[in-house]
Amino acid sequence: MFIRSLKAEYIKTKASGLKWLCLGAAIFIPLIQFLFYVLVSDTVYVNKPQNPWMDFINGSIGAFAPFFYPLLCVLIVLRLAQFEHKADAWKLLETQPVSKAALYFSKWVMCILVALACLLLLLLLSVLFVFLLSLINADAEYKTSSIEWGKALWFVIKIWIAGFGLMALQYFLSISIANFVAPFVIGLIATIAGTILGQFQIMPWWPYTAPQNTANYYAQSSDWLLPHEQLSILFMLLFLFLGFRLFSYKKIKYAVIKPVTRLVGVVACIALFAFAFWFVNRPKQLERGSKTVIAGEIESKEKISTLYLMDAITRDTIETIPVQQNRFVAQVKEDIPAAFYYLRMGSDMRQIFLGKGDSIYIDAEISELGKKTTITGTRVAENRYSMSNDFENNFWYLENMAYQYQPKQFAKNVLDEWKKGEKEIDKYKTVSNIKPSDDFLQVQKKLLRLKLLQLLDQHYPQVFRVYHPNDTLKYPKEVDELRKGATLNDESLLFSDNYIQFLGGHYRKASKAYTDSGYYGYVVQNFPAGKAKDIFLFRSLSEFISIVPDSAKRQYFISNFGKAISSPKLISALHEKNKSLNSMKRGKPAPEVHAETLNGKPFALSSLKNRFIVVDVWATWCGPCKKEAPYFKELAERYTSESIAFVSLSIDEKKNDWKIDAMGKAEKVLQLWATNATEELNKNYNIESIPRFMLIDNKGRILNANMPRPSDPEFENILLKETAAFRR
Amino acid sequence: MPLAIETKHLSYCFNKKRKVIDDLSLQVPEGSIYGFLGPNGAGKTTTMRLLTSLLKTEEDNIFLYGKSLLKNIPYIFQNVSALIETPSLYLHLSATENLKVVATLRGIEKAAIPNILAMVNLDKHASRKVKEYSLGMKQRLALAIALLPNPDMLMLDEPANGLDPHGIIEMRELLIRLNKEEGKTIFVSSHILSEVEKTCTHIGIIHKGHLQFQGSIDELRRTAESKKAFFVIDNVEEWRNTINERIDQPVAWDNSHLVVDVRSRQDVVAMNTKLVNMGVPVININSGGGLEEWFLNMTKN
Repeated sequence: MFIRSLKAEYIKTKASGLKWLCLGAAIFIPLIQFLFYVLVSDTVYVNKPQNPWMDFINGSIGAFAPFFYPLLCVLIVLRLAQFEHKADAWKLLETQPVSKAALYFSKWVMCILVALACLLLLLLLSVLFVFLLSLINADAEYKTSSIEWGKALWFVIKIWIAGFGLMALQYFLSISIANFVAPFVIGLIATIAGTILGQFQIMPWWPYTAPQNTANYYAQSSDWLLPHEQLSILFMLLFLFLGFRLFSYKKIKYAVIKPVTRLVGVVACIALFAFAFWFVNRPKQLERGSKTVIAGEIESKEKISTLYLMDAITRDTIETIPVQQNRFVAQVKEDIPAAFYYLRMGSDMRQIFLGKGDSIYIDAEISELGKKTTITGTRVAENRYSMSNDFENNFWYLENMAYQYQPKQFAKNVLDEWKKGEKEIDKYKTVSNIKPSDDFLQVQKKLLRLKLLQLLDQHYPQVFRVYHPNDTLKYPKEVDELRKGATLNDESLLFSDNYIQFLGGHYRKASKAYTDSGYYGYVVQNFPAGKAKDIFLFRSLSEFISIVPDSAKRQYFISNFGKAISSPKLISALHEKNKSLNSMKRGKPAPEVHAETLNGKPFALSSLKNRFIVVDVWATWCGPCKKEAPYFKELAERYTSESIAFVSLSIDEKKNDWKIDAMGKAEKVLQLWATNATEELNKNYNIESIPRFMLIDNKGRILNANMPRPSDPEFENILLKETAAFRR
Repeated sequence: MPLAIETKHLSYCFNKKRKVIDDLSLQVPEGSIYGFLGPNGAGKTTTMRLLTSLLKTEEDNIFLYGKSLLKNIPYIFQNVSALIETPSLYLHLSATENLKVVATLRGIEKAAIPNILAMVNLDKHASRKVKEYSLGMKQRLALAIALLPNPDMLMLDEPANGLDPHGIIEMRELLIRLNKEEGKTIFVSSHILSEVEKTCTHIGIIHKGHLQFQGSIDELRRTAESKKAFFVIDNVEEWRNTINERIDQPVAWDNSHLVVDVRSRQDVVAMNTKLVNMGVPVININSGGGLEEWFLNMTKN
């Protein structure tokens, strides 16, 4: 009976315009994308995808899902329901020897089948267009990669499932309301609201946002069905139940209230839905086991045979992890505390949060086009949180606009930010509704508190002193609440730059010292002994010595204050650092730098021997570097000769970013991209900030490892002085 | 005689103030053509909707072929077809496709479709889209849909609506044929007495939700048989006084007509004989009032 009913529904779709609707909806985005690639992409789309097939297909589906798909669902459901409303044919169907369930659900099944057909058509057309594109476009990536059918199909099916909830709601409306305007307007408004809500990630359960969420999160999660997709199914069950009730009993009174058994049924169903809704939406915290395991997959052109898990501060190797056939699995033997660690994968270094008892899975793709690392497992929430939340930048207005505020107002702003921030930390969960562990959340809250305290007690007082030299700063009492929780030797926070900064600020203020040695003397004396002291001293000293150009002075600080560090490892690391700084001394041989030219040919800095080399270390994301570039170029045009070379050395992660920028720049400046910036250039030359300018002599020795900026006339003076004998 | 439709004290109201159907006890014999007669708004369509369960009552008081409607929905429609109010047709489909929808739904062989279309004279328009049809054609297609499953009983709500005179006659003949040749029970509603009178074997008259009359067409005739006779007389003014004096029963005058109460045809003949014997020049006799007036009286406020 159901099948008969479904067949009858199929006959009705003939000549109904549904086919054209689906075709139109499905062709629109692939066509636009195709035209974009053909007509515009040469200049705009330079970051070539690794798999252009999948990029095109996923692009089509991803663009289709947020708005077009829900709207299409609304229209499909409306059209199918309007068959009967328009023909006044419910009375015909209901006087057939066919059960109401068969009538109601066959039409529903028809709705979702049409939606599926449309999505499959979209997939097919995307494949067709990307195939056409591959004929036009000669890029090698089309040959080296292929369509991953399983992934593409699963993506489509997930979008389809995500649409069930909204379709069932529309089905309920479209069947019970004979007029077509009301369900359409409701559907349109709800869809538009859904796209907006999705943008701001508000009300993630809203059924009309579900396809968009699937498109956004599909790549992020390996879950079979994400919570919003499970909710979509729940919404479907609820609205199908209510809709069918109303359809069979016609009047709300009989469908819901009379007799009492029906009321009980409806109430029970809604209660069940509410429970399931809560169950799916509840935040989860993951259980940890007894073993600490790191496993994963790594895809890279560079041959990586070993990974290193390292301490974030000392960079000591905690575990070496062998890689076999791009896969690795290892147990961490040490009892490591939950904290941030570094995982070195070839030339790439990745920060990961990890602790005893965690099982972590890492999926890494490293290529010259960029890096992509996905971390799943028991610390998925922590690692995702630290990638997405960077609250350091959130208080710029408190920092830069501090002068605008009176103490009372400033304190109030700080306290408001505190409450807001804590709430956000508590609220955070991943798309799979997983919350970070409590210890991690505590650390995040402490960091937030410290950052705000820093603004309150270290930053604002300075500002206040300048703007109100004759007044004394008095905060309202409420700020004590914020101060209470701050501790000066919290080991769990030592990984954080913010904490080190906070401690520095605190001790500098407390020491009342005007000299660095006075300050360090105070710290050595007053900081309670322990791991926190070791690490604080290590970190602040190594930062300090890297800005001290005088090697004798560096040695003085290390031997006087470094000895207060109890860990021999940290002390030797400090000496190591000093050694590399000493090697930057005038007359020391300049370490080799391996790089690539714009033609893609390997290039070694040492091959410029017999010439003086003026080096500009920069990156595309660095604003100040770009400001200096014209000055550098101007000098290059004047002084480049057989004996002097000007080199711009980029430390960009993505080679293509550099290429876009460097292409078409001054001929006189040799444009290079450091092939192993982190491990070679940064380390050997101790590059901690850019722009950095260096001068190397014609014997390959360092003349000046820290030149002033070219915009400073001193730059030219040094250059002229050092090269005087060799210029013509 | 077994009953095809029976309702027991059926009542229905849309709201609490006014009963649309009040204590209606229909008895439609099998094999009859039952005319369900009543002016607009009398409750005909509501009754039809109740009989097909399109309107729900929670009481179990409607029986088709002796079986409770409430308990046998929807399978009772295996041998009952209903055509209620406007024709239910998918306008974007052709006539054949419309029939196919119902055939598929019911699991009927599609081979019967051309014959059915021929029966209602739509075979020439079978592949045209229904949106191009006239109202009469739509009505005939709807009838074809109702006939498709070859049901024992047809419930038709004002089937002559929108048909031209020729169509009305054809429809009438078709219904009589279906009844006579195939023994189908036909329950047909109408607000036109003359229409019903010409086809039906049984009649029920409804007014303001009440059943005013129910019985066979003969019973109806007997009840409603002319109560008045109109005599048209030449030079009526000459005779008026003479007649008033000499006729020994109450007479009335309607303009120039002599109106006499009669009980039977014999009464009319007797009166005519009297008048002729008196030398009154009777030009014409109308058996006045009749069913039509009786129906109008019955359905007056």
